[in-house]
Amino acid sequence: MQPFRFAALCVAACIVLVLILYAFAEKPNEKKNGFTRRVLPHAATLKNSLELKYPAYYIAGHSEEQIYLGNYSASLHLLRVHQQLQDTQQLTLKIPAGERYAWKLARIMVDSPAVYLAEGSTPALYRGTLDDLQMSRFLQQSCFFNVLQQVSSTSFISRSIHMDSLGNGRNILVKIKTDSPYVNLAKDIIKKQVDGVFCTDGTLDYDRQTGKLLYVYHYRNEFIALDTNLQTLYTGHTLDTNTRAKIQVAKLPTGVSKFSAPPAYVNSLASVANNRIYILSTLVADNEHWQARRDTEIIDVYSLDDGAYMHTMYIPLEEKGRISDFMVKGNQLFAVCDHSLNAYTIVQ
Amino acid sequence: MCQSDKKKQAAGNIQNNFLDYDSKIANECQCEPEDFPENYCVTPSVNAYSMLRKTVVETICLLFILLFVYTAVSKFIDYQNFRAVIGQSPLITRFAPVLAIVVPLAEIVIALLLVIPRYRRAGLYASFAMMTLFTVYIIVLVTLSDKIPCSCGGVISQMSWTQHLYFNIVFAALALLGMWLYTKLAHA
Repeated sequence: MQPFRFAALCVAACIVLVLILYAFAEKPNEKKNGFTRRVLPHAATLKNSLELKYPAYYIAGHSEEQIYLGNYSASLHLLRVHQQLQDTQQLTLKIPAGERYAWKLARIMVDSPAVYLAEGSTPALYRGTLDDLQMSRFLQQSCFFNVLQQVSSTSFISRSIHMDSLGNGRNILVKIKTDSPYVNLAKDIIKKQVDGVFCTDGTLDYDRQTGKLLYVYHYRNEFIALDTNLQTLYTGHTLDTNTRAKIQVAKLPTGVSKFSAPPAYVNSLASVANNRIYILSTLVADNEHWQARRDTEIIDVYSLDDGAYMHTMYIPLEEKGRISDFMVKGNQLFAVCDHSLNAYTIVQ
Repeated sequence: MCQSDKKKQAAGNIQNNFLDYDSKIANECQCEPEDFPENYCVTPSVNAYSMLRKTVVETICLLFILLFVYTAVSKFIDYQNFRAVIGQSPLITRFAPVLAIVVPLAEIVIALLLVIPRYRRAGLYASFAMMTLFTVYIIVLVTLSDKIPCSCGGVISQMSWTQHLYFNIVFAALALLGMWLYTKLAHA
């Protein structure tokens, strides 16, 4: 066959083949998810937007008037932004010369005037103040962790992997303190469903006003409210019907585990403020348009007192991409979207 | 008349081995100098062109052999990982166990076709088909899905999706060039 005729036929055949694959692929929100939402109209309006110079920012904390952003790819870099999204200031944490830690895994937490740098694979924890940014090694008797939440100047809650006698790891919560006993394991709060590590993934947040911790699972409709001694206060449920994590995990001969199918996210981000729980959901309700998430993010609001559902807010998105981190402060919602930090005013 | 006969004969030879094409023409021309003015058949420019074409086609084949053998071997070495990661692609989750074997196997077969002169033409066509399929797959996946894993094998996995796209398009274009030059050589 002539090369160009073959090429044309081949391109056409490939397009048809791939489109057939796409047609038969499982798409999220294609089927009804079996729940309904109460959407507050115009619950969030975009007030300000600040262009960020670099990608990969996350929210590290806030003080009275300032928002602090850390960066996943530059672990000592801290960006201070006034909450009106003006007056940005680039800061660099200073750590003693010769200190070694896993650069890209380190996260900054700001609890003004204190600032912490935590990295759980070494593990390494540093403490300093926002005034001079001089960080010093802190809490040597800690344990390995993959998530850390600062609670007070003397205590932290971590999510760590606990190995049983058979060598299977699973996530547990741990309280780390500056005095004896330094480490306190709470093995039964996070519940294993599939593999113990991936299936229990989620977000850990702390509300300073009420002293409550909140663990929200990524792949099931569940969250747990805890006190700072890791005693369960209640188990709440998000609106959707995913009681079990829909994930598939392959264990490789090297000992590493990997997803072997696209994981079905339910709750991708969460934040606690104003005695409320804000959960960014990836699922569309039956009373919403199936493309409701195309140019908005859906945030469901629950009461922190008992986990009861209150209402839903639509957060309008600009073209730049989806929310990768957010925080609520009073009647303002700050969200990192790709290369920008957006400030929304929300109704209470 | 003599010239067209030679051409037919030459074309017949190509079916077996196009590498011998130029030398055969050259030999035959030398054998029967009385039929031709000396620079009629073996004009330096024509010879240089076909030499160039041949070199280009061979370089393209070599590039494809390297590419396919390298990626196929790295897929086989890291088989469990490859199988898990292609499962993460929403388009092929269901076919991941089959594709994890079929894709690297097909790459090896195409590399073999390119190595064996008889099947080189088929090999070039198959390379083009393979690269087109990968390219269309990438375009569809990148436009329709936001988080996508990659498991193309070895260092090629380190490329970004845009780099991947350009890389694939360049290779598809090379295959097309190879197919075209090959056909021209066969009909020259």
